[in-house]
Amino acid sequence: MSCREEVAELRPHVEGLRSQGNVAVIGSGTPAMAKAFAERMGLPPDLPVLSDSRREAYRLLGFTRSIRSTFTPRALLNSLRALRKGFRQGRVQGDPFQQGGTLVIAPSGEILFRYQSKEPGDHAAPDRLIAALRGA
Amino acid sequence: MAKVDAKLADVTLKDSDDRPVRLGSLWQDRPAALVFVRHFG
Repeated sequence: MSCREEVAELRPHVEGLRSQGNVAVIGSGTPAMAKAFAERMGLPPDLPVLSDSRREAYRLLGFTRSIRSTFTPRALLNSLRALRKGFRQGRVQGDPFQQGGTLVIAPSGEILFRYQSKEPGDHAAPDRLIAALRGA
Repeated sequence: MAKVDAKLADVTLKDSDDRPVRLGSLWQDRPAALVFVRHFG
């Protein structure tokens, strides 16, 4: 449900973000799961939703994968917040213990923004991404 | 400012139609925001 909440928060900002740069959503599930997720979340059909089922990019970026990081007290509070807003957890489509994060990368390869999720429900606010893209 | 690991640009992911996408192609011409979700749940 926290993933749904994150993407639902992002959705109204997709066009604003894309006026400043490229945007892609990446997950650890299969391409078929990515497609179903994009449709369910009402994402623009031309927004890339990419599958990293071998979690190669997650590993290179050092995004946390652990059972302990999945079940923290704050993750529980974040889940309750997402539930209150009406986001339900669907069947997990990917690795349930993999945490995510957000990067903004310039054409030079410079990292303009990096946010590493510590636990479910912890993610970067879209306006910080827009600011990072604008600064590129 | 730190640069991304060069290996990251060469990671090939699949799009939702199962076509390969080289990750580095996303920031080749314009800056790119990459949102890594936990899973597609």
